[in-house]
Amino acid sequence: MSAPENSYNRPSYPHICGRAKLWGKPCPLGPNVDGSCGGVQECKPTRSGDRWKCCRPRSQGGACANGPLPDGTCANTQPPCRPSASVRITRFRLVAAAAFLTVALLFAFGSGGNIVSSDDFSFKNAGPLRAGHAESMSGKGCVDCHEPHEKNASMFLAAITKNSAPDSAENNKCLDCHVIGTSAGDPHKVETCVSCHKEHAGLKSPVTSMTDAQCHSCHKVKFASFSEGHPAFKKGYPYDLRTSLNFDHNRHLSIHFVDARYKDKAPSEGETCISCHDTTKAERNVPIKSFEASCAACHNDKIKSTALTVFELPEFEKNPFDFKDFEEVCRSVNVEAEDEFESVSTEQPNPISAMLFDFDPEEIGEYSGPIAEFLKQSIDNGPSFLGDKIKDLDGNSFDMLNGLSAEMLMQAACSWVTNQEYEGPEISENGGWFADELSIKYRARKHGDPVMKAWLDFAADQENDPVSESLLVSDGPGGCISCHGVSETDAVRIGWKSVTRPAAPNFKYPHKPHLNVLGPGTQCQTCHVIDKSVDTRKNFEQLDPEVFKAGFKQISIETCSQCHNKQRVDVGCRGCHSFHGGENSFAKSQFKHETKVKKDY
Amino acid sequence: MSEEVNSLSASTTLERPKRWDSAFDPDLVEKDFETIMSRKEITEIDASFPPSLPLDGIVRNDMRLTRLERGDIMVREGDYGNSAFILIEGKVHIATNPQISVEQLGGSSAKVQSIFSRIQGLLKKNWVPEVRMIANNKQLSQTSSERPAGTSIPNIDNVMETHEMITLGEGEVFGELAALGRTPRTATIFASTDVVAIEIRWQGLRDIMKYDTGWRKRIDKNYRETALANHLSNTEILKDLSKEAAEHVSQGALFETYGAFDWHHDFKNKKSAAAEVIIAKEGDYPDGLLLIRAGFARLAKGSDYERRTISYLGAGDTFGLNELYSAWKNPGQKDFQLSNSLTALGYVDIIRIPVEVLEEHVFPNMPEPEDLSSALDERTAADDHLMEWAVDNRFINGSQTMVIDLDRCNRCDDCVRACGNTHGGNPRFRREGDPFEKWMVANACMHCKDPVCMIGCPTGAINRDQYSGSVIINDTTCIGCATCANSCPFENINMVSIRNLEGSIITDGSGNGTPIMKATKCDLCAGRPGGPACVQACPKDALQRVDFRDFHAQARL
Amino acid sequence: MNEQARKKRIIFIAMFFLLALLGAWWWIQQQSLELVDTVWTSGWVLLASIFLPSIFNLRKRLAAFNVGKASTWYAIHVVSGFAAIFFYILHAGFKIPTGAYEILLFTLFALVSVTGIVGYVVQAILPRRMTETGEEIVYEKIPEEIYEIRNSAKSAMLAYTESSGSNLLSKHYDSALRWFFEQPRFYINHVLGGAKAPAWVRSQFEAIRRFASPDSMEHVDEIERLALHKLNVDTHFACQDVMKRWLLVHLPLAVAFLVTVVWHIILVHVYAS
Repeated sequence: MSAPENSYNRPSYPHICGRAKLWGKPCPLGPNVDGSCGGVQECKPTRSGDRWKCCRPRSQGGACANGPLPDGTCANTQPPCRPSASVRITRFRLVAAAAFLTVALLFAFGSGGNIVSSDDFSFKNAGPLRAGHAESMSGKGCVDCHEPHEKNASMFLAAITKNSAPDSAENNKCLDCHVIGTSAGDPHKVETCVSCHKEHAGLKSPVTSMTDAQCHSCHKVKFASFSEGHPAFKKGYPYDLRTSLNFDHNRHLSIHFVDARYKDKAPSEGETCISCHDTTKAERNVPIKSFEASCAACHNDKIKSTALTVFELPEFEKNPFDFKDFEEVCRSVNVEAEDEFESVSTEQPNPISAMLFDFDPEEIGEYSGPIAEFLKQSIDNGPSFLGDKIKDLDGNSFDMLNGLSAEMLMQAACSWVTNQEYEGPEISENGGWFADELSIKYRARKHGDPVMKAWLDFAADQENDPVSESLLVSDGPGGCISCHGVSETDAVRIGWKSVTRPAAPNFKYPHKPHLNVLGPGTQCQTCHVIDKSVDTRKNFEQLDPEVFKAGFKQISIETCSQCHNKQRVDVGCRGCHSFHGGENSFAKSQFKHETKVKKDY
Repeated sequence: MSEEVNSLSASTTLERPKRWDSAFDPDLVEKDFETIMSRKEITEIDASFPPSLPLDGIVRNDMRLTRLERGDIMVREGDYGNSAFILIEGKVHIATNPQISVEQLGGSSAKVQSIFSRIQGLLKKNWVPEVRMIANNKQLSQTSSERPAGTSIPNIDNVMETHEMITLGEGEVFGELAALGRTPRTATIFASTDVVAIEIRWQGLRDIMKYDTGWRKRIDKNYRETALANHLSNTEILKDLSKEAAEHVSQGALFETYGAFDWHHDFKNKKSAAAEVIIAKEGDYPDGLLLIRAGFARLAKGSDYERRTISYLGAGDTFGLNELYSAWKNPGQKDFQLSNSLTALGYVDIIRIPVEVLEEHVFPNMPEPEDLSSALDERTAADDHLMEWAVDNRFINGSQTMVIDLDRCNRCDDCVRACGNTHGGNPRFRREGDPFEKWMVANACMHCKDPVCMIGCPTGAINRDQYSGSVIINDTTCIGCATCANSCPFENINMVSIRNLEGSIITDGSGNGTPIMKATKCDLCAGRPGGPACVQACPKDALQRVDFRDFHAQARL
Repeated sequence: MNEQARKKRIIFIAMFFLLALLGAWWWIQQQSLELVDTVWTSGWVLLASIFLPSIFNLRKRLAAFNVGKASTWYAIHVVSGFAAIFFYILHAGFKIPTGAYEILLFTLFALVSVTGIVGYVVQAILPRRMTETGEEIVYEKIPEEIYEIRNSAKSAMLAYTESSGSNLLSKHYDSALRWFFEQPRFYINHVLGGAKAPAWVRSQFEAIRRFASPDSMEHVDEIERLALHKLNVDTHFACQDVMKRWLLVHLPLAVAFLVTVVWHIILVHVYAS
């Protein structure tokens, strides 16, 4: 027979003959299915009647000569081999082992506990934090940002589907310390922090850089670069509000500084800008130096020139007082009672009194009582009655009446209740409270006098027209309003600070690198060109700060792009614009602890 | 392998094998012999047989009496048979409408494997090879007295009533065309009564035809009237002939057979090309156009050791056309010798159309044929080496030869595994073979055009599926006689001993412990959508199932 | 025809993945322009391109079903494996990650990729080396073949000793040839394609022939023939063994990698989403 018999190869068979593995002669049938040696016997003898017959297959030589043993076992036996696993089975076992080992290792060093302890170290830590975070964590470790870190297994698994990222909308851990993206005016309300700010990227990992292309993906006006296609600056840039101080650059520079009379006080040619603007503090603005350093040389005298009249004794119709009531307290000169009362003052009450004591100053019948009451109270209790009246109008009586001597007030009131003029000591040059014949006045001591300032703020608050007209005018008391502009937007405010213009959202311009190009002070005129046709004093003839003409010509984009172009100093969008709202860089101003403190210029 | 070598070297002489070493029926009883000798078909033979081949010798050795019971199948449609029949007693029937299905005849048709069983194959992982659920098996042993399935018509009575029939009675001769021509049987013939018939194997038939004009004429006429016209009309150059011209050609055609019908037996032992029968020699003058009707012939150039195989011819090919046509076209030209020689590979059935018939009826009506000789002349030794190898090994027989590109194959055995997965865990081919350059023909059934394995199957278990053309073995009807396995010259059919689920080999219970065997082979994944699993499973595209005509053209690209 | 169809198929797959790569890259670019965190998109894309190679093993189990040619799945395996490297760069950049699990993940991914590429190269080189021996033998049948060779060599050696009466060959067999015929030798040299083994055989038999008896030379010829045949068997063993055992490295690493990927997905969802 030449037909092949039982000779298929079965490559999936799981066992290899042990003899074959040792390069001996493999048995014809190979290992049994259960893995035991299949070649122990050469055949399985069959029984026919009483006899056993050898049934070794023809291909192995047919029936053997000796035949089976009498008990039916094959005579040709050999010791069993140890079948080994085939390559495929070894492969399967290795794969299973690898899977289990990996799972075991991951669980041993992973979820929940660490076999290698140390609380700070976690295998799950995806990398070192950036410098700011690494130092400022509260010490609780991963849980500072990742809540599920210390939770049990079921909550851990629940966190897979729940949004448990540190910057999730429901519970944004970043905002525990940082302030961004939450104010109404912030145009870039991003979904998550992590889309740009990658953490676990190392101590010195940079805040992610934004490319111009990313800005252009949303902003409709697209252009190639700052110098090629950037929209022109808006009309009047950057002057969108009237300055808070009524300072006419043009008149000062072209008239006053060149006036021979003031030669020794005026700044020298070439240093006019920096004589007032302090370049060492140049940031978004170049702040002006203090009054003493920049303005006092010429303008100091004005401050003391006009005093604030707080109270003026008005004319009485009849004597509202009985002197005998005050005899003990006043201890003043014997005054004979006259038959006919003739008021010592012929004035009307001043607007402040009218406002404080709430009467019509033209109605003599109306104001006599309150004035009389005031004088009586002043004698008895000092300035507290006045203070109460101020407090009734939400004024800060502490600041406003600071320094007002009760004794002086009593003396003056004693005089007035006896229908006499008060004659007090000489008025000091230093300013402060003093009483005149018929009035109580205050003279500012110096620039920034707090009492004067308090009274002016109070007047601004009250929005009482007579008061405003007497106080909030440029020749008013203290001369404050001659420089500090009064503006009315939602409320009346006095521009005490030189800069009150709010920062443009998402925009930052640092003066400093631009100033030092050719030395401080030399580059101001490149951008800030005085518009000689404008008289800025006219801006302060009304109260709306948005109605004005800027004293400087607008800055155009060509001014900037002379240097900021591809060939010279190329800036991307983020050179001037910032993504998050806020004045300066992200790091500085966006940290919660510092935002309460506003920087003063 | 080493055992065979040893047994041969032990004896140094071997008796010369003779014609009648193995008789058709070794146990032919004298009585039967007398019966045959007295039949008129034999007695009418009036020819002189040579002394070495006497008629009674032919009768004794090449004939036998076949006795069938009612219902037994005599021949199966589609089978490749090698014997003819003369009915002596009884009647046989041919069912015409409806035809008897192939399952009733013991074969199987390609059914799609169910999804369920495929999923089962995924989940169950039983490593026991060749498990058979014997409870369902109708076939238990080779020696059971029960009639094996496939040898008789089930429900013979029902079949007789419901089918239209043709009856053949005493004296009818049938089956000789299939026997002589190696073509499938064209009909199923079964016994409707108890039948006695003389069965003549093809060798005897051929010899009688050679010497007896009566038989020759009758069989010739039969062939001419039935099959020849059909065959001629399928030949390229003759299909456009007018009916009259075709008639002339048909009448003038001569039949020739070369080579050994059972070439496969000798093939395994000696593959010597020198022993091939020469049909036509290079340099001779052509004597008629040769049409190959069946079998294969080698087309070669050169002589002796320098002879190079250029191509091979199979059924439908012609030989000598260019030479004859140019001779007819250019009458003055003298050199129209054959430019190649033709030898028989195994056996060849040839129709020779004489020159006169060609010149009168064929050539005037056909366009000038393509001159293929020049294309063949440009080939080099390397081109021919592949062809030689294919022809010498008879791979040209295959229609689905498994060729593996060894440069791509990484020996992962995914093909074997996939074959196993599709066949319940048992692969159906062996990835072994002798490599040639980078090609290896593996031991997988080639689904030959001339399937010698199909000759002699007693139960019809091996048959050719009429739709797919694949040769399939019906596992249930196979009785494990190993006829097919022994016939296959390429050792592509494997006998396996079947086991039960526990792994024990199922024996026949006769006491000898002889295991029940089944013949198994590649079935081209008959039930699998997408074609053979082996081709689909190779990750490197190294495995193909090819017909050598296409392969040769591709391999040389 | 077959070759062209195959080339077309592979080019199609490569083009498809190239397009997918470009598409994914473009999509991620768009996302980063819109300030969306791209690690999520690139992560899921990376997961897909890791998932595709992992199902290749599935194809082998589904051979009974018509799920497409294995060579297509293999081409997808290789191409998507390469694409995974690029997707990884899109996902995590060029730098080596910090963090214990990320380093583990990166290491496993690198190892799987490297072993995969090594395997691909090995499969391109070694088959040809086997073909060039001119013989073909199935891996599982090699032990039997070695046994037969050894047996025949011993018989030839004994025949020589009997016929010539000298112990030249038997001594030499004991000292040198026994080692050679015991099992497949020169493993690494065969894998690397060196010529050490045939040179060794040649030198052995040159020495033997120098001193062997001419009458019994046929037995020496026989042993030499067996030795040369064994060289081919050894080559087959070495090459097929490497191609089978390489997977013992690639697959466990791949499975460990996949497990770590699952853990990575859990972690990032717990901590960052």
